[in-house]
Amino acid sequence: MPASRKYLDPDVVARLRGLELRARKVAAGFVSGMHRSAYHGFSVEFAEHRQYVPGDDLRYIDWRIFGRADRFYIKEYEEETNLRCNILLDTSRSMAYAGAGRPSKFEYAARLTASLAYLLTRQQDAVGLLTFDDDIRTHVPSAAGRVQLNNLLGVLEDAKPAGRTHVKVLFHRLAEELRKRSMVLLVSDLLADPDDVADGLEHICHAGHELILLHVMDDDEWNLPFVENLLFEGLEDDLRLLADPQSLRTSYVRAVERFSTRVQAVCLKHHADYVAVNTREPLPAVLCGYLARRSSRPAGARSR
Amino acid sequence: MSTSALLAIGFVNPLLLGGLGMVLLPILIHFLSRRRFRRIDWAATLFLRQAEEESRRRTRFEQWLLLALRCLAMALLALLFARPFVEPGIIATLLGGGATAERIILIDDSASLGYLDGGRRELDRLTLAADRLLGWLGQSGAARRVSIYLTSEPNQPWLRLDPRDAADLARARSRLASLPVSSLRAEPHRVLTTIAHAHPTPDGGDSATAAALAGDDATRDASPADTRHLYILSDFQRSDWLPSGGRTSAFAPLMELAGGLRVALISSAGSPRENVAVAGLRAGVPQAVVGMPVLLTVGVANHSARPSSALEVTVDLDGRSLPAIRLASLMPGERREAVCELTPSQAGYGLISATLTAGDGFPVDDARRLVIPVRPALNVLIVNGDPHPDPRRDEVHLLRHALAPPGPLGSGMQLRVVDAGELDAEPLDSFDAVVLCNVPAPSEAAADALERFVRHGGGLLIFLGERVGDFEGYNRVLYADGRGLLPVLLREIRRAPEGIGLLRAADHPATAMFPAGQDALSESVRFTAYYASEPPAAVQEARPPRPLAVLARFADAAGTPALVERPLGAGRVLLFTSTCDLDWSTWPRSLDGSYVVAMLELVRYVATRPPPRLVYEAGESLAISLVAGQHEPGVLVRAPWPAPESPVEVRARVDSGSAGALQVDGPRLTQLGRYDVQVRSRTGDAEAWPAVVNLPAPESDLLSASRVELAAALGPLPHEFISATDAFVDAGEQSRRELWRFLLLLGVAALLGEQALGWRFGLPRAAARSAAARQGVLGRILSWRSGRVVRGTR
Repeated sequence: MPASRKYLDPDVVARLRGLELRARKVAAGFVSGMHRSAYHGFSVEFAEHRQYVPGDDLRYIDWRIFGRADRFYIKEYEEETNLRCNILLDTSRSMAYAGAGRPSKFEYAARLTASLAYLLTRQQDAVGLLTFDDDIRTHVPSAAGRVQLNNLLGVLEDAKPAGRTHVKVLFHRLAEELRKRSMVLLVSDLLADPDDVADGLEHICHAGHELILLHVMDDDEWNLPFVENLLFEGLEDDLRLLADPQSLRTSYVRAVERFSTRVQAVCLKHHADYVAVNTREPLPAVLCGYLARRSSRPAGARSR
Repeated sequence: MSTSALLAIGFVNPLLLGGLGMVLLPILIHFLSRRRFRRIDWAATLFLRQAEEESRRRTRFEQWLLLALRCLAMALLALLFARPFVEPGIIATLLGGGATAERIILIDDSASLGYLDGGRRELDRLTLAADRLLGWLGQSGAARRVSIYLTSEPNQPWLRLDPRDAADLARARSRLASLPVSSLRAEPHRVLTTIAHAHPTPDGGDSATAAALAGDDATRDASPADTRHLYILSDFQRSDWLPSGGRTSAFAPLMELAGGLRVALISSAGSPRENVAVAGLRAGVPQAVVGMPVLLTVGVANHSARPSSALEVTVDLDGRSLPAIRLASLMPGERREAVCELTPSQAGYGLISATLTAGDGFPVDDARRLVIPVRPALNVLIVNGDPHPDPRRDEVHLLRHALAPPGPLGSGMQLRVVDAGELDAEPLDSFDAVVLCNVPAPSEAAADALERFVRHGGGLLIFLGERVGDFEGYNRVLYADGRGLLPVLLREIRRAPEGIGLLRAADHPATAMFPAGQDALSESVRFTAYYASEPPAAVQEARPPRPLAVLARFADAAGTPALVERPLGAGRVLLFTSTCDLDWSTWPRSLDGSYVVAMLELVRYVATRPPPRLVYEAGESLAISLVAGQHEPGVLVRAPWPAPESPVEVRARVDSGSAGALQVDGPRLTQLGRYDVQVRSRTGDAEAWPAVVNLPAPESDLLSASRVELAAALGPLPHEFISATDAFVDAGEQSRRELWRFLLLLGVAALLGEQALGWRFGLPRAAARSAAARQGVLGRILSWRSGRVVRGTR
């Protein structure tokens, strides 16, 4: 398979036709596009009228309405610009886990990344890619165009899961790395200390980025469905635990739920999307389902 | 010790209980399964650590719970195959010891078990208990052999059976159902001795001694079992079972089996038993005479715990009833005697019975019987040694009037008076007594005839006097160096011109008519002459001891014997060492009339031929003495039941203690009522008499021994005390209940429970639901409104 095709599935490409990933927050783009601009009033697309309040710029008063209704109304316009999106892909060693008959989390996440990059590129949006484990391994700054897409696919091709996840330091560095407001797609299993994860996500959100968290885990990790005794050996740590998974299942699932709930709470707080992804599910279904649900929901409040 | 357990558990296949080892199987599998595992590289160690930490205790609990259920299922499976059953604790107590234990049942069928409680004999209660016990033994297979003994047959087992054999069991039950109450006392010591020797424990007792005592090899088991279970079913009457008066404990023979013996005392006794009994019946004389009144004494005893009143005793003589004797109330434990007078009207044997109207539950002792020989008259030969035409000087004139007073009131005596010279020609067999009154020494032939007469049961009364003359002749002919008739050796005539009195020397029927407690037989009697005799002690030194009795002495310094008795053969000789007329004494003239009474009593006493024993208590053996040359050695005995027309002939044996005598021992008299005994003489004449058998008097005291008393009597023997009333009456034949259905259900429930719990413990949805629940309603609403939480398809 050509490099560009390894993670970009034609079936997914076909299913993405007609779908789009719109920014909910304003985007600080550099060309005119499909996303709302952070700057109002100078664009060409009328948005709405609103009653004048003291302090408004007098230039935007609609004098025609004043002539008919003797009241001041301000004309508001929306500027649409292109989107800057950075995809943060976890390439730590834990992402190498693969359940029986299923792709590894990394493969799944890479395909997810490739598909989203394709989608954004097709929308004329700028896409960047940043891979990380205990450090930032690769950073492709955001840019638009097919060349950029090929670059990203090449980076994904070269990426290998390795190293440990140091979320606490890394997420703060990522937040600082992305200076301009953008959409941040974080694709990770988030297998790190919950407090560090929460703090890191908070920091990213506080930087004004619109966060979409794709929490990718294998079905084994979501549900611990094993029946035989297992000797668990940690991929990123030195854990060796002989246990009967059936007896641990309830507590395990509860622990996953607790973690997931906490991450969801952070996302809710910052109006970020949280998508729990099970690698057992087909990628097109997961991706298309999410995009369809996202586009069907009303847009959030306009931000300045 | 008593049974307290309500239920007990047993197993049909106890060997399969070894399957309980399967309980270890789940534990083994559990630990083996922990050694089989798959290695997996795991990324989400974060959650795994939390889960392991959080669920460590719960997991351990769940694991142990599941393990316990699996073990329980295995145990139930093993129990299922062992086929457990429950039965009343009484049964477990009775059936302990397993199939190798030997079972011995002793049933007390003594007369006291005929007590009617609610219209039902107590023996029925015991036979029912024995019946059920046999049923349980057969049903459980806990016995291969059972020996049943009766107290009425103490020398051998009454029945032996294998209760597992249905035909054997049915036969035993049939015999138990028709078991009659015997009329005997229980003799537990005797039957337990037999049991102890017939069923020795491997290490108990001296086997040689046991074999010798057991006698009957058939009763001995070839291979003694390890343990013996002895079930004693009885009312445990105190008088039979408890030691008293030097009698050892009834259980003493069992002590040598102590190592391998368990005793179960199964008591029939319920509430205290009320009983009033005729405790005694006796006549004032051993032999009656037609027309002469006889005093009869009836003893009545109250063995109840409360007073008895309105008691009446009816006395019958040969079927004719006397007016009833009414008794005032008898206090608990009191015994009272009533006296009545009856007069036989015909000769033979008078059959007397005394019947009490008590109305208690033990009627068998409400009557007693007595047989008394009745003579038409006492034939007395008076030999006059000093006849005289003047009655006042005749030797026997006063004696004749004393013995046969003229007038309508007879004395029951027919007298014949002959002179001393006529004695040789007088046939003596037709007389009951011969009285020699101041007779010179008889000829050798007359002395021999007199000795034969006495030895065959006749009585000889000798009065002395001047006519005796040379007393050496008396000593030679009649004393004969102690082999003759004279009880003592005559020495000399002692004179006491002022007269001396007569003193009682011993209690004796012949002197019983004089006032009791006085030394002098009569205050007004004085003797002026009498014969001194060799003291009996001196005689005994020279001769073989002879049973002499001095009944009266003269009140001189030496206490010279006045009246001496000597039994000889079947008869007796009385010697009065003074005269019977006024020659040497004033007795015939004494104002108190004691002469007449004394003469009558002395003659009646010597004229009374000791009859064969006519009254027995049940359990005693018939005892008859015969004369070898006079009687045939066979005796016919006819029992009252079951076939009076079929007499049993019993052979007599030579009595080693008495030359020329034959002794008949037996048969054992086991039935109450009248037996008929017939003896045939060598001449072909038959002599028959009745013998009556009464209930042994102690059997009327129905008080039972308490548990504590029995425990003390049993000493260290392990035992149980069980009430047949409580434990056996309500216990049904099908009292054993098998538990396999219940165990099967329990096992299925355990397996289903294990599966359900295993499924439940490994179910993640529960955790998901609980997480959703923890998230709460508010959390879910916020998620919906913001639309930011996108639930993946996990």
